[in-house]
Amino acid sequence: MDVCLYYKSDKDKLDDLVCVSEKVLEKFPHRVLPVFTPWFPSGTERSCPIKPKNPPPVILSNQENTSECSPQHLKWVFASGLCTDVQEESVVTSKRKLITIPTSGEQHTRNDLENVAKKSKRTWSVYSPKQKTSPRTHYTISRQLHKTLQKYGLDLHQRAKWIISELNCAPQNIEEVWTKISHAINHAKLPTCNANFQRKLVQIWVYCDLSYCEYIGNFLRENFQLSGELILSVHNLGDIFKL
Amino acid sequence: MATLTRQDLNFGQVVADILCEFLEVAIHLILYVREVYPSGIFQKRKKYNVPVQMSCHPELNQYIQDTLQCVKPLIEKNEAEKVVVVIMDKEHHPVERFVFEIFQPPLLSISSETLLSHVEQLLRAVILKISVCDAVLDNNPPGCTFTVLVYTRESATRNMEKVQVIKDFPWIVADEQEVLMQEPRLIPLKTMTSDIVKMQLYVEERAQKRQQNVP
Repeated sequence: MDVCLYYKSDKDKLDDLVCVSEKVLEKFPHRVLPVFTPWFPSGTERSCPIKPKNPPPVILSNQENTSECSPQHLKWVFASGLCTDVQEESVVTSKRKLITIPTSGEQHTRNDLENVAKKSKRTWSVYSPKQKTSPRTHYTISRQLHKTLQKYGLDLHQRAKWIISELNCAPQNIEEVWTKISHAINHAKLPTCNANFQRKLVQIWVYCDLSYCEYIGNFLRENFQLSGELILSVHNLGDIFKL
Repeated sequence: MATLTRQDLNFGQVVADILCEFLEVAIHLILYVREVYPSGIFQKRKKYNVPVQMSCHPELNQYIQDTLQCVKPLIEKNEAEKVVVVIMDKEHHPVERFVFEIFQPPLLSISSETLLSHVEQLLRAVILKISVCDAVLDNNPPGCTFTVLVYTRESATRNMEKVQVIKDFPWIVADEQEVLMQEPRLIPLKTMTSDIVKMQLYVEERAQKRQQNVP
């Protein structure tokens, strides 16, 4: 940077002028001011709002990863059919409650869900929006099952549920089996069925009419590579049959 | 036209009832419109004679009800200045803040505009604005959650006891991280003026929603 100094022609004072100019051009001494902290309440505390300590529930759609189970195709419902029921399946993960649901949809009738055990926690279930029965109207039932139905005086249209436990799924994960079952029901491969994943009990409950139950049981076993005994349970009677 | 104070006819309670009912509808609708929760948990209902979306998830509904039940005494005593629904990203930084600024006049003029039907008409207009606010807001990043903040007229800690209405639903002073938003964009949505309550709703939207705020 060049500095030009204009002065009156007074040779004696030239040295002084240069000296003064140099001083003027020197940087001013400066210091960093400390942050102002008032001794009285600053008002920060007043402006901080209050909020509930508990975080809201987190609800995920656990089938978003599979393109086949898009929200347009599947429906989820409350297993009890009532929104106000306090029973709810929930898993605590890192301080926050995580609730997984298969996917979106509308409310379901209670009829298919009446066998849900009251003591168990509620979870989400799946059923096909276009529930179609197979063209085959007659499914043969074994003599053994026929005897069992006669013994308990059960009607073929009565609902029953197959209980699939974690052991039945091995070596698969029960979550994988649940995804497959949801998909099968959605595509009407399991006539009269709706399913329910009891995460608390680590069980899948597949509901169907008794007339279809053997067909459903065999279908489940063959198509989803289930092992061990599958248990058929009926409301108020409990386990009535094993496959 | 008669002029009454807030103590007359227990107007504070009336206003708190009306506002809490409205806030419940508004919170459900915001969570739906801003896709904080899967759309599948919402059902179409009718409120203020307009269709609204309401969650049918019991746990979420309970959370909202508990929150508002605790806020109610503050509104009743005219101690709540703002109720803010904050939508936060995964890192708990606010991306949107729906600010309901409430003002209750100390003196009430009873006129035809005090009628509940008139107030509900005004609230309906606010609800309609919320239902279309996604048109003026950018999409939120995935995995957002929400919280409800209450700004009180006096010190927050002084009001802490008043909101502890429910035993298992404690309240705390919000973290600065959840309150402060870097360079927010202000989007006014609706104001309403009635004899018993005045309210304005605006949204503060984070400029860069996809980026994490670094203070």
